[in-house]
Amino acid sequence: MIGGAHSSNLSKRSAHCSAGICRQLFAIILVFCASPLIAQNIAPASPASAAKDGVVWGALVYASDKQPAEKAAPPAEFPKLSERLAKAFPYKHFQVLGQHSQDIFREYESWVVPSKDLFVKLDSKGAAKNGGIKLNIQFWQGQQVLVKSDTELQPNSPLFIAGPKWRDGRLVFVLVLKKVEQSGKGP
Amino acid sequence: MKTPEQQNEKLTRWLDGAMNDAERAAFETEMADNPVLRAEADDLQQLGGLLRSHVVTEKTMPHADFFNSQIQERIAELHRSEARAKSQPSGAAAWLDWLRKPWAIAAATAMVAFGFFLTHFTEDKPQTIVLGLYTPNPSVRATSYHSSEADATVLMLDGLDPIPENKDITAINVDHSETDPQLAATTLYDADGKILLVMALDSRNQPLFLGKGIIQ
Repeated sequence: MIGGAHSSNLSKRSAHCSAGICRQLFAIILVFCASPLIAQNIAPASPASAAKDGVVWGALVYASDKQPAEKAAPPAEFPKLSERLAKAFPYKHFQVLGQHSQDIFREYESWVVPSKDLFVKLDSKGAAKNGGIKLNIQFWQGQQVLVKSDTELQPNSPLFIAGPKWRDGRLVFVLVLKKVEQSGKGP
Repeated sequence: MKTPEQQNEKLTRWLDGAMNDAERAAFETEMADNPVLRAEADDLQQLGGLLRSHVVTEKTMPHADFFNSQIQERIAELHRSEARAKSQPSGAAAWLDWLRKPWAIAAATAMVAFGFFLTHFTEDKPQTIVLGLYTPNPSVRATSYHSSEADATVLMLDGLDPIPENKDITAINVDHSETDPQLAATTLYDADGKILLVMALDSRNQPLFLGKGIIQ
């Protein structure tokens, strides 16, 4: 009897355990099956279908008094870059190290990465007056945010970010609004 | 022989003192020869004296200066009113009357041209504006200003640690990029379509770079 009772208890516990495992398995399967739906609801649409607010051009420039070994042609996106930078920074030479043209999508973060050492993250807040664009800008150095800024970027009015000093000069990040998408304009 | 009318006229003129010396002398000689005329002249002269003594012919005007000034002011106001009535047509015609002046078209053209100049050439060019700044590192100070010479907005960061001299700055020329929101990864391409760098975010939303993509 004792054995039968024990056997009965075991069978009951076994039944209880198998029922618990079944419930857990069912929950896992349910989550697994539902996850694409959840992901679809949570994740935004791809940038290709998102509203494009504009295009920005970013460049990392090395400003120094030392003449670079190779004289590079001025960037097509900003032909007078050196002359304009010379009006704002006390250096003689300005060398574009890297550059990046990037589409700006609303509700998406965009990265302008002319260098993996210094780059910016942009979050568009929509159109501004006079054909500009409202941006939340984060200026990164490696894994650190150096500065966060709310900025209204206007066409033909560049933003020069004076970054850290390096060697004989200073690194300057240049950000220019190339064009604003009409379809991406806000109210 | 003089008629009575002629005699009366001479007498009246004599009494009024309107005769010249020769006439008066001749008339007084005539009166001396004519007692009737002399008596009549004396009576009239006496009557005239009595009338002058009892009848006030002139009266002093009280506050004459004030009275005169008021009269002159009224006359001047009358002239001014007449002048205004002549120079200012009434109603809407008065408003539009200046348009009929020969210089009106030239003046209007000049005003329109001046207004166009003001709005077209003196309108401030839209500038990039930094609305707010925040530096997570309290030792870093961020300021911004607009450089009119550079025609750019400058964001200055002071207090940053300099990058070591021996560190190379890796830079790339990105032509375009593609973002995969599911993976939260951005792939950066060069102009030839080659992958330069893949950028992703780690669990702390920190950027991670995969691939070298170093061109300098």
